[in-house]
Amino acid sequence: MLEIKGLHAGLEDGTEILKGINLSIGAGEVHAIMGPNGSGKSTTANILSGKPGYDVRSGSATLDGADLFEMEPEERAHAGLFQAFQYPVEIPGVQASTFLQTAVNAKRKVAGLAELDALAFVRELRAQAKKLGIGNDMLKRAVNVGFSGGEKKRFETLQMALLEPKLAVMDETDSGLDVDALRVVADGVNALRSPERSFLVITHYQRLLDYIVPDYVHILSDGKIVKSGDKSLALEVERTGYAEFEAA
Amino acid sequence: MTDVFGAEFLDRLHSTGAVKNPAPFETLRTNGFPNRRVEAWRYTDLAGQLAQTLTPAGLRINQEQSGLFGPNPAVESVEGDALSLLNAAVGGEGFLFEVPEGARLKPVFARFGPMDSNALVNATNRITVGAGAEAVLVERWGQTDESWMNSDTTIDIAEGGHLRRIILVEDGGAGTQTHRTFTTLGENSRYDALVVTLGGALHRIEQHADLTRPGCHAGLSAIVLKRAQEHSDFVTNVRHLAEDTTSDQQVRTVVDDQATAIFQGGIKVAKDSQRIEGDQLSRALMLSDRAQAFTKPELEIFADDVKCSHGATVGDLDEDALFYMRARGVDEAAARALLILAFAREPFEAIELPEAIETMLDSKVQEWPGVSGRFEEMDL
Repeated sequence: MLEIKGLHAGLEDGTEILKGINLSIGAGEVHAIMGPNGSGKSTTANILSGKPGYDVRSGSATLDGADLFEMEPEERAHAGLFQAFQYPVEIPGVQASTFLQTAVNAKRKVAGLAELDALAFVRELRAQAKKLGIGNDMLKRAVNVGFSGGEKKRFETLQMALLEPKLAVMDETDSGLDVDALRVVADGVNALRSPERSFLVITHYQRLLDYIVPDYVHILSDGKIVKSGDKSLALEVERTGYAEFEAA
Repeated sequence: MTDVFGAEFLDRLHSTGAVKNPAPFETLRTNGFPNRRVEAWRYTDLAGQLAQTLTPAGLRINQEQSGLFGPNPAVESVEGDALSLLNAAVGGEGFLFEVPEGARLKPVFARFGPMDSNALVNATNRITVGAGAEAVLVERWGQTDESWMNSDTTIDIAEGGHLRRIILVEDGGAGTQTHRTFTTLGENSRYDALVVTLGGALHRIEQHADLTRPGCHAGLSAIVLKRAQEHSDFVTNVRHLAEDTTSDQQVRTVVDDQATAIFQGGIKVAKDSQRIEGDQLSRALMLSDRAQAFTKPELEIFADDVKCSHGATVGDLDEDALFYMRARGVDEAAARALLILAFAREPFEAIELPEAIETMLDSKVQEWPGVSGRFEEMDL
């Protein structure tokens, strides 16, 4: 599914952040990357999705064999990559439902499928939104405008459900969520787990991993994966903190 | 006497025999057209227009529902500047649109264009809205060549009346359009104008509104989309002449290439007009380094109990929003088009635009460089 090899990358201004990442995620697997602030967690997510402002020095990342770094951001999405953003962007004037329909149809078009008409799309949208407790009033508002922290993350999860990615990269999905909101989002994510779909869950805290239980946990420190293990590694971090790993 | 600005243009006009009213013509011939040293014309130069040889012609009116527009043969003296004098000199006949007292009209659609090609069209129009009447008027002013359409429209709205006007000024070619509206509002009446200006070598749209009685409101807003070397000058002049009156001006401008867009927004509050609210906000999106957007708020307030606000912003397309949409699989051109339209439409979300205008806005944005798709001529 996802293969990252020897990835060195940083900001366009020359700052090096990732100093040789190797990561292999198989189909249906859930991997978590944990690490202290500034270790390169969000940079990893942003570089995979092609956010402007970053610079890949060396190394590769492929999704089902296709080179992600050769693709535009929209092509990566068409190839099955989805990033759930830590800070979803507000887009005044663009209605949430219009945005979702545009995105779903853009992907269907590339896949050679007929575009969904408004009626068919609304039926699908309502069904998925209901599961996440998203009402029509929220879908009528502009994308993320006036959404609470919890609503923004639920809206990210709704996008994921509609776009059916192969690999979902979830960047600090727990930030800004209370326990109830976290449970709704986690339930939504867990409902999407399947043998064909993989997840890369990026988080600072172990708490999220109580709800989205990973198969593998990696500790990122100063741009490198310094330790990998199963879910018990997350509990160990919770107990000891990151300092021990930074020294490693 | 040949040294005034536009003298040759006026002499050519005179030689065609089109001048029907000598008095306004003589005034104009003596004073000339305003050049850029005149403050109100600082950003707009008529030199190109005045160098043209145009054929005087009448105003063509196409309307969906027949019988609503009558001819307006009355040439009135309008308080406007040289362009109003030009109109009066030619005695330009326009339309008369009367909404009877208490009437509730379904939206009325009309198209306006020149009777001839490469024409100089002058028109004097009159709209009256009777007491308690409500009407929505959707006007589309357009041409396909280098014609110049110049009009004055006077509007009277009686007590409790409400007129909403959506005015689409759209040129396929290098046309010029200069239109002025002078609205007088009665007690508790309302005038809401939304001007949408697209294309054209030069568009100058002026909206003047006199709030003469308590409780009335004027909304004078515009969506301006300009590219290539297109030029737009949107001018408002709200005069709060009575207490307890309100006004609102929202302008959204998108300029690309070497286009220029100007907004001159006037709010005047007379000495004894208390409890006034006047809001003005201009936001411009610059898509090119060589595009220009000017905003000139002009507030003259002589009363004490007044809440007036004005603001102006100029910015680029939101790169974060662009990336967010691309990360969801929307290609860059489509994402740009969605963002541009959203920016232009945002303050007017509550206003349902006729589908033809929505489609035209949409196709105009699709026509933008870097945005795929092509412009298709739409019929109202």
